[in-house]
Amino acid sequence: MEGHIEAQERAVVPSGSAVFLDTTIQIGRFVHSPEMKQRIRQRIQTFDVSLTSLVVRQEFRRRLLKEADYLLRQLKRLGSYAKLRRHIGSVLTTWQRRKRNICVEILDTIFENDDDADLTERTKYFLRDLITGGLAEFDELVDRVIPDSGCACGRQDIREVKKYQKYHFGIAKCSQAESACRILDFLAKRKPQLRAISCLLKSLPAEQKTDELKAAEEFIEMFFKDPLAIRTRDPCYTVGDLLVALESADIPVFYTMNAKESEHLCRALHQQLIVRPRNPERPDIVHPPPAKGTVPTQTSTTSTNGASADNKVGASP
Amino acid sequence: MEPTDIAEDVGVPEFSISGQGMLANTKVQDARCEYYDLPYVKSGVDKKQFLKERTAPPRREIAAPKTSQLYAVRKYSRDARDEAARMVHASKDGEIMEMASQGLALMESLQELWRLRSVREDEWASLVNFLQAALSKEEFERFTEEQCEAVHVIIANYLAAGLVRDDEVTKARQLLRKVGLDPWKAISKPKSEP
Repeated sequence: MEGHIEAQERAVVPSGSAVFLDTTIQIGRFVHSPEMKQRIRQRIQTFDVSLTSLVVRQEFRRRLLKEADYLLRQLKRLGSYAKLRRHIGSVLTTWQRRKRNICVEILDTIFENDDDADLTERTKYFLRDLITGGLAEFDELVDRVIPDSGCACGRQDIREVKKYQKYHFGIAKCSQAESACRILDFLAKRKPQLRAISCLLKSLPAEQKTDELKAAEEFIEMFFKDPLAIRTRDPCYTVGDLLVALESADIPVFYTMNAKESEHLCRALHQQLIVRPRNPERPDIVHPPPAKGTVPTQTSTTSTNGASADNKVGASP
Repeated sequence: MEPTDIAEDVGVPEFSISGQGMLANTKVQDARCEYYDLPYVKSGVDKKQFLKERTAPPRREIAAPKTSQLYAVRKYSRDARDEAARMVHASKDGEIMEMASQGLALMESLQELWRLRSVREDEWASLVNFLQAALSKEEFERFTEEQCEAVHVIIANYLAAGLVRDDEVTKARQLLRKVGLDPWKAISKPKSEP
């Protein structure tokens, strides 16, 4: 909620050890299994302060809450929880597992004695509450939502136009936000970190680069060539992982369930990475920050910009 | 314009405009043809009905709650509040079995309240739903005093009190989370993937 974020910005953040929570962790705190939630809670409790960011908030809204909206619409159309389950099971493919998680094989294991009419009603209430109250709860779950990126999409609130039927999600892309989007200014302030990430990505063998990392590398090059052009690329929509990494650069510990991109981005930013495996029986995997001198720091990108002075990895926490 | 057969029969043009609206001068006019906009009272009634059917979906009739239903809501709300209070006392006294018995009785009261959800506002029903989700699959013997207290506060201050607002549902969820009870359990994965 915008008002809540502003109140958070004014509030004094308690000092102490801090951890940054990425989108996978924040979503996991809502829809993962009880054992997984317990693991996450225990890990966060070992820190004095937990933080997240505006781009994470944007991703949370776009991924989880949009899906809840989709399910609510389908539920209204089909009029039955059983039909919704069948629909989700047959239409959504396996990689769209998150959508299915919210619905399939869930409610009926909790409320075993309920009939379809009851389950339909319950699902309707849960989904509506998730859409209307999810962002407020997202903000409440952390000590602070870091506002540095000035992501206008991340500040958007969800408005209920018609109960159970229509919800206004606001803008979802930077190109729709016009002057309200401050990501360009943020990137300008984070040039040293961008260079550090670019150096590391260039040094990676091709087989280690995921599509997201390739997009991030290309985006950084584009930014250094023509900063004004990046807004048309909708950064928070297309290179969310990169922006989240930059937003977290001042926080020494990064907590995620997605190690593929984070292991490289955290290395470039000299952060400790904690990965929560998908199996709750396995303990968290802790990657300590890399020792100095082990991360590549010089590439052609930096030399073309002639900014060798701020070429070092300066994002030390 | 060529006159139609019907217009020829009555010997006047097909349509004329009067101060009251468009008239269709045909033989069927007196038979209250529903396709033309007629100023007559009887046809006017038909017209209104016609427009209503075309423009607005029929409204769902919500029956007023019966006195017996209102009584039942009050009774089960009071029962739930008392059972939650007894859970708090039992947890303070270390009476684990009593705490579990009261917890199970509370679940039954909540189920009765859920059956009566149509009597109250949606937010109230939503609160019952969250409480049931958070308490289901829990072992009441393991409840802490803090958890019992939180459940009692939610029932006494919101569920068994007056009108429930959206922000009160949010506060109740936060309180449940704070004491380690998960209000979103029902839409969470039942088992984690290995």
